[in-house]
Amino acid sequence: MKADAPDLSLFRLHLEEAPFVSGVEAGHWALVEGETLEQWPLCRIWIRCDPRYTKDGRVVLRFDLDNYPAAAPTAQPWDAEKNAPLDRERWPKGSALVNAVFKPGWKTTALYMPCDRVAMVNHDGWKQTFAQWWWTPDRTIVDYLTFVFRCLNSAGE
Amino acid sequence: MHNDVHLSGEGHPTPVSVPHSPTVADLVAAAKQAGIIPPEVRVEEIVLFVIDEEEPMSADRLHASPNDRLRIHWHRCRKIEVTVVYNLKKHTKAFAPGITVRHVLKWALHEFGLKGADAENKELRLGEASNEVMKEDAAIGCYARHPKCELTAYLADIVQPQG
Repeated sequence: MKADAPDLSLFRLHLEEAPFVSGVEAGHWALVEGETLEQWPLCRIWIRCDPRYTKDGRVVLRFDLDNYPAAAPTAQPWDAEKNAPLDRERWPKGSALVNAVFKPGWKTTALYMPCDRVAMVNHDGWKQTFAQWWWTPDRTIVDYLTFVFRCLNSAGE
Repeated sequence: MHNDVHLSGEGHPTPVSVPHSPTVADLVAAAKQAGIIPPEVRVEEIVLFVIDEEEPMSADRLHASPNDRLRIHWHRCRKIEVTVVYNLKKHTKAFAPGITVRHVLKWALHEFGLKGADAENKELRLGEASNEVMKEDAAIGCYARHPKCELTAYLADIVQPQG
């Protein structure tokens, strides 16, 4: 049997740890049904979303986790049924924060946030502004998911 | 029966797994062995709470649901007095340590009469020097250390990525 690559091994480990599992059990996020990680470093995870921001009630992200966690993840909204990028019209939108992070006018292949590998480029200032979210190799996928979940599920009514 | 319990506590905003054992004392012992509960903490001081429940956990709860993966918070305070400051006003309420930051945030938004766009971009940050964003999923007790069973938080605008 072929051994997992180190980045995949670490990712599998993080999927089994309490922070990720707690989120699954709380209904905050989970691997998309049928996700087997055979397409590594690509991986699909859904995140619950307030229906104010998308009528689907959840957003599927397709992650590129190459060299995880030394390198930050990057992710794009994904249509799990078509197995294709999500149409721009169906991207979540609504609050100022949602519109700032889900910004197809900027890029359709990444999210504009301080733990996304693509968005981090040329945004060194975010290291200070978002010290709690700026990706470093000691972080896990849960940090990325938590940022997105918080963005898509405001406590306000 | 062997299952995991997700345990957080004083100074642990991130839950970790410990083996589920038949008694609360065994659970505490396992958590101490794993370094989740510091060795100097005496077992009789510890109160266990199921996340987002106000009353302490009864000793037989672990027996009652051996197949459920419980989210439990340990603390030495029975209540945390939380003061939230916003626009030079403040509101205070005592919460069980296992109540999540998200629950406290909702309460604070209600107390300050914030709705709609004014409410949806708010987060709680720790007072004093840290200014740390409080994780919404974490229990409020993660941010208070016995014997100080109180904390001050600020209601702040979520900083949006830009530039």
